Amino acid sequence: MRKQTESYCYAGKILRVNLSRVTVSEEYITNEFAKNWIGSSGFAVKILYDELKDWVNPYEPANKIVFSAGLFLGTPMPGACKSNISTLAPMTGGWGSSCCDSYTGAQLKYAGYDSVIIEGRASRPVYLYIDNQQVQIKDGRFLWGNTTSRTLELLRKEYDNPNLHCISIGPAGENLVRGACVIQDRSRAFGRGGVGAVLGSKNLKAIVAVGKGRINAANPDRFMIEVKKLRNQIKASASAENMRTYGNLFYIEGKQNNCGLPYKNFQEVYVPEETAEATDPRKLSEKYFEGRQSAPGCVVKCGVKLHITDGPYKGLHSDANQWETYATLQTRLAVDDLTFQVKVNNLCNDMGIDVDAAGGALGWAMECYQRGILDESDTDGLSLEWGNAENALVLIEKTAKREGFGDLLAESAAKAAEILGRNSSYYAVNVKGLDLYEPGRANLGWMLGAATATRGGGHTTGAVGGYKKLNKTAVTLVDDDVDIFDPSSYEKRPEAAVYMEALHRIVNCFGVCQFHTIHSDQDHFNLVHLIDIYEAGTGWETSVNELKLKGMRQLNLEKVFNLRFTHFDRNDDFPPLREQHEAIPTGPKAGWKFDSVLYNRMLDTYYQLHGWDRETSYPTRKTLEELDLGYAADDLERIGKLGKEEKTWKSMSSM
Amino acid sequence: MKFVYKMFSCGGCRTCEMACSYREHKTFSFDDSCIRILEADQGNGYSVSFMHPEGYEDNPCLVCINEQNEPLCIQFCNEPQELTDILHRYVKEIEEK
Repeated sequence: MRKQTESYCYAGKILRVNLSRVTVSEEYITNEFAKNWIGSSGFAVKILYDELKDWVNPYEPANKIVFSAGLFLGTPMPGACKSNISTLAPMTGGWGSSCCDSYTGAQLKYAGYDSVIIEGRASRPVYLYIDNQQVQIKDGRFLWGNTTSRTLELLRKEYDNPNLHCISIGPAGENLVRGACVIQDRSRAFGRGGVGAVLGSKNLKAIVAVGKGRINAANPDRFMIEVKKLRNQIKASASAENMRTYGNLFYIEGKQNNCGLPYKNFQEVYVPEETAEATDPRKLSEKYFEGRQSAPGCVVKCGVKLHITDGPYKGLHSDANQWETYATLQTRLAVDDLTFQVKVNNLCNDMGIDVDAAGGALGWAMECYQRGILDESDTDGLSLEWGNAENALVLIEKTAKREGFGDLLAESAAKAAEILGRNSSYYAVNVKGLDLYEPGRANLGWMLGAATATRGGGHTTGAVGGYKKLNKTAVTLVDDDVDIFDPSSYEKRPEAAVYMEALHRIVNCFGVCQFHTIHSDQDHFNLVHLIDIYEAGTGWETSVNELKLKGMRQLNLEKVFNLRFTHFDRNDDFPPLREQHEAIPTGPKAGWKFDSVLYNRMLDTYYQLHGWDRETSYPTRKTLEELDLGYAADDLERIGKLGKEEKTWKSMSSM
Repeated sequence: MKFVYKMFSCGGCRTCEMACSYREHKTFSFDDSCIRILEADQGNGYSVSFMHPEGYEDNPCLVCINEQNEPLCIQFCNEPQELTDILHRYVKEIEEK
């Protein structure tokens, strides 16, 4: 057991649960470990890198799950609600890490733990109950087979506690659906990578934490002053009023104007005006607003509760609809009914399936049906014409239960296409096997981040938004005079992506929601705004450069993790084929086409900035050693994947 | 004794609880707070409860509303107006008892 040293903002301990041996133990976090890896996804990458054997696959008992609460969970730091689940992921076969707004995370901190390492496989369904006195592996048979919302209900009844929170898997996770997620309570998701299927493979249905302890700041008075300052920064931002009224559903307009919404599985990237008007998600807030739902510490208030009072889904209550469901299911499948996005979101959450995995597989299937690659003899007699909401809902349920045609869809679009053959892979829109939910062919910084993401297709680990101008003191990588607002420019995108890679990772470690950062609004936090609160909270000095370095350290370890477990190389850092080859057919950017030469040049610069081999994308020894990752360089050398040094290579320290 | 009020604009972020525990103990905790946010399954808003100073031994609400500075639960609330109204109602009710 590591020796305990006093540290602030941390609970100070990591819990280790072995489900095979039915054992529970604790380890203290050293200050050195905490400083180097910060928390949450940072802790997870180090733990999993060190502990997973090279021969492990995602569903084996030897795979491990790390569930963590971010550094600032349990404090009033604005937006500090994010917890993380990381594991060797079924969707990509490599690094999988997914964050979620989480009450359970804050409770975990108060119960005395920053992270939980879950090992082995239970011999029958179990759930984990954690409080300050004890950690119990409990019989979960009464929960098995239930939806996530019913699981919450049953657990609240079991403990006679209407305020209890849990994270759980639904039928999809139990049935090892590759895109299964883990749901916080009823509506928030550790969505990506298939983390829910790994819980399912371990027979772990749910985790409950009830914390009665305290979290201390090093300098509580200064910490509270910083909290107030940061709260005021969010409240004064340009997006505050829209966020309050519509949640993040208001982003739709910007995405539509940039040709950033998928229609008919990315065949079009601008939603036809009639459909856009009929399905405008802002109407949901205007028509069906019921109340608000915010995770701990939230200031942006994007969670809107809805009550549908008319139409086919009348009577439905929904928490926290997000824009993503609109893109990945409503418009991707070309459904015209406004309230479908609410119904399908609820169904996915109940089944415990990632909305993007469901949308990716259904989009692929509907396009195959359109092209005659699939017909009713493949689909259990279901017709899959565009816009068929009813059959889409039927298929999501069949997917979660692995019934009939759903068993194929449960393998996710990329793998289903491999299994089916018939030249259908082109219509599986993904990066590294993980479904992409938004087009980026005219949004190059966004696309670069999504295509190079270590966990696969998604915009939360490096994508660059449309910032008018990034503050030079905050973003030393981007020159002050470069206006990177034009999304379809290739200029300075690699530099900005590297900055965003660091920012995204640091805020994930802090447990801060990305809507509180420049990811969502350029008036929100960037790294420079996080220095004072980190120092007041932990009592440790830091700087923007140090945080960037720590972000890069994590990224490089994720990268090497992927190289150990997958065959990813430069070829896997490209957008999906359709994005590369098809010009935008309609909308304000009609005719725009992805430029392969410019993208390759952008990728070269990106690798150079990282100190990675341009030919293969592999990190070099020098890069890894500069980040104190010499052992990772040794591992790469052993498997023949160490990057070659280049003369033009730019040192990390000069970035 | 617990006083419970429906707060329609509350989103359940529980920042008030952490701010209150800081005021009382200079640490952060849901459990040390005098103000508690109770879950609402459906419908609008959440419920806010206060622990009565005379009827409840743990974490009584000391009604710092009467002090010079605005109570921290209000200072750190996203919807301070409704919470202020609720605190006034609470003060009135405990004074009447």
